[in-house]
This record gives sequence, C-alpha cells and structure tokens, in this order.
Amino acid sequence: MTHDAPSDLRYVRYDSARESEYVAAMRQLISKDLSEPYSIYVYRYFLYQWGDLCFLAMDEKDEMVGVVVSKLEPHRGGPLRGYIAMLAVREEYRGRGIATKLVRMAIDAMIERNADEIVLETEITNTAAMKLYERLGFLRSKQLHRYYLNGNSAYRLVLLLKEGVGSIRTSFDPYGMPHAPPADQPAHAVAATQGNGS
Amino acid sequence: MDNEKAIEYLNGLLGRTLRIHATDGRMFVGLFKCTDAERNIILANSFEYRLPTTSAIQEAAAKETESWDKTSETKSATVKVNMTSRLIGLIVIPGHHITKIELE
Amino acid sequence: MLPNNEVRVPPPRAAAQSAVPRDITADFTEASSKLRTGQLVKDETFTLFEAVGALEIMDSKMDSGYIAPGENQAQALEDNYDVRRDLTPKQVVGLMDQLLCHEMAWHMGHPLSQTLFTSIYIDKLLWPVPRTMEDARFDRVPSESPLVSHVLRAYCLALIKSCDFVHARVASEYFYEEEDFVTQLYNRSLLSAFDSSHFYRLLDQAVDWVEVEEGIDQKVRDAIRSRLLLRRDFLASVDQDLEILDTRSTDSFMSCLSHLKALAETVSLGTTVPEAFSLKLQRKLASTVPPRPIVHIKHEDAFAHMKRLCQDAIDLQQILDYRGPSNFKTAVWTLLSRKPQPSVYIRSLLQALIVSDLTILGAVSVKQFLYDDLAELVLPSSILLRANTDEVEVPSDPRFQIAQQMEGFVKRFAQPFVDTVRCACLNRCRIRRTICHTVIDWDNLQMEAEELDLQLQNLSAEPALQFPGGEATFSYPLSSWAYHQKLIQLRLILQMGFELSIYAPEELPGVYWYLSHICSTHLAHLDRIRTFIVAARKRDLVSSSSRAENPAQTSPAFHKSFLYLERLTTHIIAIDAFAIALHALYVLLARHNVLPSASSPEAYSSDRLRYELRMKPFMPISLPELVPYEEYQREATLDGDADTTILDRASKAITEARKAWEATLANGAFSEDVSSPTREPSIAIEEDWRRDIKDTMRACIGASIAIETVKKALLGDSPPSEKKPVNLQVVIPEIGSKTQWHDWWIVPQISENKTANPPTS
Repeated sequence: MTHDAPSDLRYVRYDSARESEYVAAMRQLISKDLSEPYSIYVYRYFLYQWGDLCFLAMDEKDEMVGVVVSKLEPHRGGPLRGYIAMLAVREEYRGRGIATKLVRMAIDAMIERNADEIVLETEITNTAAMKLYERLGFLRSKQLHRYYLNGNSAYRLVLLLKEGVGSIRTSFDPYGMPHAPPADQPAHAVAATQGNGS
Repeated sequence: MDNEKAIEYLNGLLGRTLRIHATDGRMFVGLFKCTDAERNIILANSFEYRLPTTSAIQEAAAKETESWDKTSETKSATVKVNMTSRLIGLIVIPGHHITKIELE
Repeated sequence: MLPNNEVRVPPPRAAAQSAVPRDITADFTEASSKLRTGQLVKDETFTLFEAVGALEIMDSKMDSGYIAPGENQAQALEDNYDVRRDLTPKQVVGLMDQLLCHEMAWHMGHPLSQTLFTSIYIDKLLWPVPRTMEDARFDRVPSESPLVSHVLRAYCLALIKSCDFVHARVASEYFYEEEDFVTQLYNRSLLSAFDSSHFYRLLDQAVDWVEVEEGIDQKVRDAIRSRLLLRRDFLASVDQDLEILDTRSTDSFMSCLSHLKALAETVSLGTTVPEAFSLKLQRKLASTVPPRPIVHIKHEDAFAHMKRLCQDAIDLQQILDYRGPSNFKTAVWTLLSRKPQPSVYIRSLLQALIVSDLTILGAVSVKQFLYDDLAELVLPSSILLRANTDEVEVPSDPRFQIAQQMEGFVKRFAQPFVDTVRCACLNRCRIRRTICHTVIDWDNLQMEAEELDLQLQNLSAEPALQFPGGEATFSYPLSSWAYHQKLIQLRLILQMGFELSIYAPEELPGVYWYLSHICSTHLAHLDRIRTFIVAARKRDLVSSSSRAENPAQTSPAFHKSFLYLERLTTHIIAIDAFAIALHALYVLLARHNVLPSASSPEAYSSDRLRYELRMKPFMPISLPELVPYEEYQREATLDGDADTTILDRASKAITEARKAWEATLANGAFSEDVSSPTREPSIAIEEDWRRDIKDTMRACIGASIAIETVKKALLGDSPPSEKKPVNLQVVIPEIGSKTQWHDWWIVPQISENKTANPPTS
C-alpha cells in the first residue's frame, strides 16, 4: 500500500525537553482528529512515563503533521502489554503511509523494550484504522459494545509478539466488579480513539 | 523559595480542600490532588459554584415563601448568599484560567 | 448489586460556607513557578492514570458548564421559555411525540442528560424535588390552558413514572452501565415516591377533558387521546413488571401496539416546539462527564423501538410455562437472539423472570431445574436424583450419603448452570466475553464433578461397562453433563465470533476447522453418554422384571433421554458437516491465493502467533486439550490432500449438512412435553427458531453453489497451472449484508473473474 512517504518529512521521537512546544502541537492535531476529548493530563500520563514510545512526523517547516502516543506496562500482573492510545495524521497528509510509518516506529520501540503483546481499540466505523492495523498483523480479539462517548462500538485489536504469552494468567477476576470501566481506561476520557489516517 | 521549599509547600496542601476561582466567575471547590509548573490544578470530588442569575434569585426568593423542598442544590437558608452548585467530580483547571486560590 | 450512579455521585456536599477561607493565590503561584517543566506535585495515592479521567475546565469539549466568551451569562443558563404559555393542540401532539422519541433514545442507551432531561417541561416537574403530586407541576402558578396544565402535565408525569419502573428493573439486574443503559439520574428522582394510582388518575382526567373539549379539531383530538391512552397502557405495562408471572396478561402491551399504530398515522399532525428543549439544562445537572449534544432520533425509529419492546414483551409470555430445561433454554436463547436484540428493559425483565429467589419462572426450584436437566441428558430414572435425606435418615445408608453428595452438587452447580441460561440476556458482545470466562469455571466444575462421580459410583454400586479391548469404565454422569455444558460454550465462543465479525478472512479455514473439531468431540461425547444410558436401561428392565414391576413406569424417562440425545446429535451433526464443508472450501481458496487477507506480508505476526492469540479462550481448558499448533496447521490446511480430494470432501459434507439441517428443522424447536401437552405453544418463538434454521439452510445452498463454482474452476476445461492462476474472485460478505444469510455461517461470494486473465507471457 505504501506510497512512498514524502522525503520532506522527518520522523522523530518525542523529546521531553521540548514539552510545551510539542504537547501544544499534539493537542491541536489530535483534538481535530479524534472524537474523544483529552485534558492536558492525558498527555502527561502517556508522555511522562512513555515519552520514548511517542513518535512525531514533522514537515519541512517543522510543523507537526502526525503523531502516535503509546504506553507499555505489565497487564494485570501478566504479560508486558503495549497500548497504542492515539494516532492522528493531518488531513491533507493522509494516504501517504505516514500513520503506518508512525505505528511501525512505535511497535519497533515496544519490541525493543521486550513487549509481549500490543493492544488498542478502534471504532468499528473507522475502516481506515482497522485496515492499517490488520495489515500489520493485528487480530480483532473482541467487540466492545457502545464503547465510546458517541455510542459507537469498538474492536479490541491485539498483536501477539511472543509465543506463550496467551497462556500467561492475569490476576483478573471477571466477577469482581460487574460495572467496571473498560480495562485500559478510566471512566470518561477513553484514551484511545484511533485517528483516521492510513 | 527554592524548588525544594516549593515542593514542600505544595505537598502540604495535598488532600486539602481548595476553592479555585476561574476567569469566568465560577468557583470550584474540591480536594487538591496535583499541580505542575503551569499551575494546572487537579481537584477531586469537586463542585462547581456559580453566582445565580437575577431571575433565579427572584425565583428563589419567591420559593422561600412557599412549601417547596429546600434540602437540595438551592441552599436557600438565606436568599442573599445563594450560589447554585453541582457535582462535577474530577477536574483540571488550567493555570491560565485561575484568578484566585483559597484554602478552606 | 450497587447501582453505578451511587458509586459516582457522592452525597451533596455541605455548602462551603463554614470556615473562613484563606487566600493563598500568591504563595501557590510562587511555589508552582519554582517547579521544573514536567515536574509534578501530586498526592501519593493519586496516579496519573486517574488524572486521565479529569475533565478540563474552560474547554468546551469537556466542561459542561463552559460558557463561551461574549455569551450572555443569564441567557446561557436560563431558558426564557415560558412553561405556562398557551400551546395549540397540534403543538401538544408534537411535544408528546418528541418526548416519546427522547424516552426511547434513553431506552436505547443514551443518557437522560441528552434525551428527556433536555425537556424544559420535564425539568420543571422534577426540580425542585416535588414533595407531593400537587408539587409536581410546571410552575407555581399553573398555566391557564388546561391543555398544558392538565393534558401535557399528565402525559409528562406518566412518562416519568414509566421511566421510573424501567429504571428500577434494569438497575436491579445484571447489565453494563453505559454499554446497555445509563442509570445516572443526575441527582433527580423519577417520582419513585409516588404511587402509580396518581398517574392513572391524572391520565384518566386528561382523557375525559380531551373527549369533551369542543374547541379541538376531531383528528387532532383523537391524536391527543391516543397518545394519552398509549401513556396509560405503557405505564400499566411496565408497572406490571414481574407480576406477569401471576397475571399472564399481555393486554397492556397489546393495547400499546394498537395505539402505536394510531400514533404513526397521526405523527404528521404534530407541530414541533424545538424551543421547549434545551442543552442548557446540562449546565445545571450534576455531571461527571463531558457535555454531549441532544440526541435526536427519528419518529419512526422511536415507534419501531417501542413496538419491538411491546412485541418482545408479548412473546416473552410464551416462555413463562416451564416445559423442561431444554425447551426453556431454546426458548430463551431464541427470543434473545432476535435482531435487533431485545431492548435492555426486556433483557432485564427476562433475567428476573428466569430466576429470582432461587426459583425458575416463579415456579420451579433451581434444584429441580438442575435435576430435570441431569435426568434429560445423563440420569434418566436414577437413584442419584431420587435419593432424599428427608426420607432416609440413617447416615450409614448409602442412599443417605448419595443424597448428601447430591446436595453438595446442587449447591455448587445450580448457580453456574442457571447463569448459562441468563447469560443470553447480556448484550451480544458481552455474551461472548462472559462465556470466554465462564468456560474456564466449567472446566474446573467438570473436574469437581468427576470427584463426586467417583464417590457416587461407589455408593450406588454402579456396575462397570466393558468396552471391547478396553478397560472397565463407569458412566461419570455428573462430569459428563458438565463436559456437555462446556462443549456448548466452546462452540458458542466460535459462533459468536462469526456473528461479531471477529475473524479475518484468512482465519476462516482454521476457525471452521476448529468448529468441526469441537463438534466431533461433542458427538463422540454424546455417543459415550448414550452407551451408558443404554446399559442403564437394560439393567432397569432386568431389575424391574425380577421385581415384577411394570417397566412402563421408568420407560418414559429413558425414552425422553434417547429422544433428547437424538435431537442433540442431529443438530450437532448438521453444524459439524457445514463446518467441514466450509473448511474445505476455504482451504481451496487459500491454497490458490484467492482468499482475501487482512494482514500483509510485512505483518509483524506469524501464523503461529495468530493461532495462539485466537485460541486464547481455549488455552486454559484442560479438556478438550488445545490442538497443538503443528497438528492444527496440518489439519486446518489439509496438508497433503489433493484438490480433488478436498473438493470431494466439501461436496459430500455440504450434502450431509443439508440433510442434517432438514432433519433438525423437522425435529422442531421444542421436544414434546409428555407431562403437559395442553399448555400453550410458543408459536412466535418457534417461528423465530424456524427462520433461523431456514436461514442456515439458505447458507448451505449458497455454500453448495460456491463449492460448485470452485470445482468448475479447478477441474473444468482449463484447470489452473503455475503459469495461469485460478480465475476466481472471492468476496467475504459483511455481517448483515444481504448475501450473508446467517451470522454464524460466512459463505464466500465466488465468481469468475470478469477481467481478462493476467498475461501468461
């Protein structure tokens, strides 16, 4: 699928020294693209702990045109699970493989850090995002009924990176909390609409 | 105040109830949980207080004379101090929107 | 179970007027400015993860109290809508219909803050909290127009009361907040304190007034009247709630249907009053979620939703007569598999009807239900189910000990077993997710049952069966029964996976292979059960003749079991054969590179990793063991089989599948209940069941055609070669599309490629 990514683009890792500049640009890019609203602390949560899993695409004028935000931590005492939280590409730059390139960078960085698996959620109606991740080898593991604030359902997509991860037991008690919010996020600011941009 | 002192001071406020006034006139009252260099403040279990509109005051005054329920939001012990409040939970107030911070 | 809104909404805080606050603005600002970029001061127990959920004040997307600069404060908060204003009769019709739309949108899962609570009329009735019915009015001084103060008020009050009943029912059952329903009331009460008699009275008065009021056009008058009557009947319907077990009355729901018809015909008479609804009300509601727009649903969608709700409620009546466990399970599953899925209210009502106070349908104890199921499948006429500690009181008596063991079994198994039935009441996504968890419990339950079986087999002195060339074996009835439950669940995990569009096209050969693998395991298991029942039957005949008893006493029980096993076997053969056919078909498509693939060659995953991921629910299960990847790979790709062999396999299997589905259809949805043949049949549900089987049969025909097309392409005049790939185009239809006859059977659309063959140079 990849049209050649234009050579005038630079792909860089997030740099905490440039926090104020980068975060402002990211917020602008993402709020345009994703339906769920995120506060400044949503960015803090991801960037302070996993800034090295955040990648940016900058154009020749050094303006941000694409971003991927992720995290990586043990999942309920089980496998080391990567999570792709946000992905956005500026509209006029879509269709050039920028999103795929960014996601690949994030996945590669997680593999380097010994991730067992990577998961994410995407709106059922977002076929572009689904295609992107499925091309990379993600499988739909479950459907999540009315997952987003706008009432849309989602798929959980999973990429297994190591053998034997599927049999690692987690400490999850399915009957503990019948009304618990979805596994990876707090109640409202669902951390993971996937931007449209293959 | 150096960095260490600053942290000590702010740490002392954690868990206390703050009243934060915003640029639009609202006041937020909640438990202080977190802040940063830009004074973006997180409050938990917070309530939003808003000065009532003129018509609301008139209405409240009128209700005062009637046998309507007084136990809830519209605290009409005395009509003059009446601020309408509602629960809004966990919030972030961006530093540049803060006009005043009070400690309860 | 604690309702979710209580978790979220702490009690109202005492007004912040007690202590004198101290201004710390300067100190605070000074201190925070000394922090480095990125440095945080935070409560130790407060994590950044929690902070993710914080709403940002002054951000229009997150702050429901935000008022844009330049907006007039008073106008932004207050609507200058006058609830005492005169309304034309047509406007009243329009308002009633709009309110119904909001009510149904709430039923569909949207929060009150985006639906009914955007109505200024509803807001005025509920706030301040009325202490008497008299208090519940639009304004202190009632409108001079009776159309408003009588008719519209009665309508609104009854609507709120209906919501109260619906809210109470849903909130007391197992549901998923925000997925199925939003219980949040924003610190309002839905008039739950007031008895429904008040509401009927007000509605009756309104109807009386409308009927004699002369100034209203006849058509419009009828329209208002039918809306009031719908309100009355719908209130009565949801007021009835669990009492349906006693009343067995569907009258109210039936009347709703007839009024709904009248409503649909007169909706055009209404005039909308958009200014009577306002998003500004959200600024006054206690709310921990971002501001959200008013939900607008179309009249026809609202009417359709209510119509389905009523129809489902009427048909639900057909479940209420207990006619044995298998019939009960079939009826529940079939009703709840309707598309669209019955509304959350119906699903909640049914949950409560299925079991409350340890009683099934208010009639049968869960123990009896469990025993009936055991008797039907594995223990026809068995001492294990007859033993009773009340009758045998000597602890040394084996029968006493059997009874004790069985009591332990009931304690442990009754709830999980009832839950396998109740599970159908969850939303479709949750059904699959729940089964993925419960199947692990059943794996453990099976092992526990095996322990019990060993002890019971000693106590009941069960004679061993000698299989040719094998060791002596015993029946293990309880664990056999548990294994049967588990195999059903394993199959459902795969079938629900198809329904929820979980599988990528390239996974289809493997998943259908696995489905047939589970089915053949199940069939072998049923054979084993049958063998032991045959043996038990023989023993029974011998012993009853020696006791000079009439075998007719026990034979109906055996007959019932044989019949049940036969029905199960036919059904599973049908599934198995269809799965084998589709597996073979997909193997050929994959082998000739015409099966679409979601993953690209540059994907990160390997086949092995994808298998591991897909089989995750099956991995913790000890029996049947997960098929090792190498074996799966060999079997699922039919490694070593020639195309002709596979084509043959596909053709034979699809022929067998069609026969077996015919036979399944002929067997009918329900087994005859000899004990109570006079009960009312479940006609509507049976019809649903037949439609489902017929859809499956249509899918079978579709698959036959697909197989023929592939056969022609592979064995026809110009068979494919290395130089000339097979000339087929394959489309995997989407769930819900016309060419997808049944959600559980993904039949590929195969056609000859219209475009010219790729150059063979």
